[in-house]
Amino acid sequence: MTDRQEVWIVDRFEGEYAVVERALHETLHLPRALLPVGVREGDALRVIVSAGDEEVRLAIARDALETSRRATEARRILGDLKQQYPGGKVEL
Amino acid sequence: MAPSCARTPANATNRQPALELRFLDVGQGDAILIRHAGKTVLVDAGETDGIVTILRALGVDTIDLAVASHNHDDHIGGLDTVLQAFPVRIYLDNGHPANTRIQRRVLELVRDRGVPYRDAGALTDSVIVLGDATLRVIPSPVTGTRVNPNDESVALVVERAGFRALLTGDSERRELGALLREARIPDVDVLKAPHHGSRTGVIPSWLARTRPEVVAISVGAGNTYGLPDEDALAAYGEGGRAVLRTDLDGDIVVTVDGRGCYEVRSGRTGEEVRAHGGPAACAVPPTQESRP
Repeated sequence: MTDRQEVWIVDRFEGEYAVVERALHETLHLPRALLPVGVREGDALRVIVSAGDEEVRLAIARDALETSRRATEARRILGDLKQQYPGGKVEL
Repeated sequence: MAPSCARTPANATNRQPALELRFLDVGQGDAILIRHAGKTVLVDAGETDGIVTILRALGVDTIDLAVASHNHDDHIGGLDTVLQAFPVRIYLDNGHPANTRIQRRVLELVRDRGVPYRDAGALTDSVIVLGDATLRVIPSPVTGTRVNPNDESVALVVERAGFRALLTGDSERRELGALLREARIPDVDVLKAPHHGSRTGVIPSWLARTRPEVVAISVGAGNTYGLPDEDALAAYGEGGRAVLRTDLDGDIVVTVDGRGCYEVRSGRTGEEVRAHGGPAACAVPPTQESRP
């Protein structure tokens, strides 16, 4: 078995399915039951992929630190844009 | 919303070209193209870069306004390629952060390319002028923590003469209820079914208030989620209302003339008019003055 680590982001839930972003422009549609019970939209998941000749094992855990880091970064970029372009109107 | 009437062609009695709303067939996702008076507005961009090919085939070379109704991948997944492929004059979203790579990529492109950004919730004037038509931006009234991002969707009312269309992204019951309580939702001619025809996107009071004559559902063929929901479809179809779906009909194209007369066609049936309506004037032959 060789292990590798990935970070997936929960994009959204659609009924009994979760849509997770594995990479930019790559999403997976998973039964919600395969994710930790407390997972919410926007959560980062630390995924350990153990691949062998006959089987692949996935260990999926919510990563609170990575979730927080990404949330901070998203707020920062959005905050910069809002500061640069406050309020106003849309004139085409 | 005006009652339906016998029609004269929506394109034939108007000095200006028709206002066009095109619900694009982008698979499971939303992308709506609005064109009028030489301006082009794109509301959401589906999930993939296929949107660029679609837009180019329609002759689009500039996006005057790109709107992200909310930040789920099936709405903004193609926006980064749009920002790379076309000049985008203004970018508007709901002002809410997501943690995904795709939102970060989109916002970095907006920032790095110097595209003016607008937060729907911070606009001082919610009306956007498109020639003799308008787009009214309605930010979600739902606030607080642990809000379902679908309920943070930006709504848009498209108006020309007496015609109105309502686009509400993926709004679910909570946002729809809040919008109704704020009494900001008019009756309309064309309603985009919220959330791809999900049962969470339709409530009786919503249909009673909006009273659409035509419902457009953006939904992918054979999608994993079983959309559109059968109960929602039944609700939309009540009273013989016209219901069109991108999975079955391809692009859904609404054209509106200067009197508010509208016609609906679909990509799979070409020039056949699937639905039409508008004010009483639509039944009157065009006057010499109103001919193009």
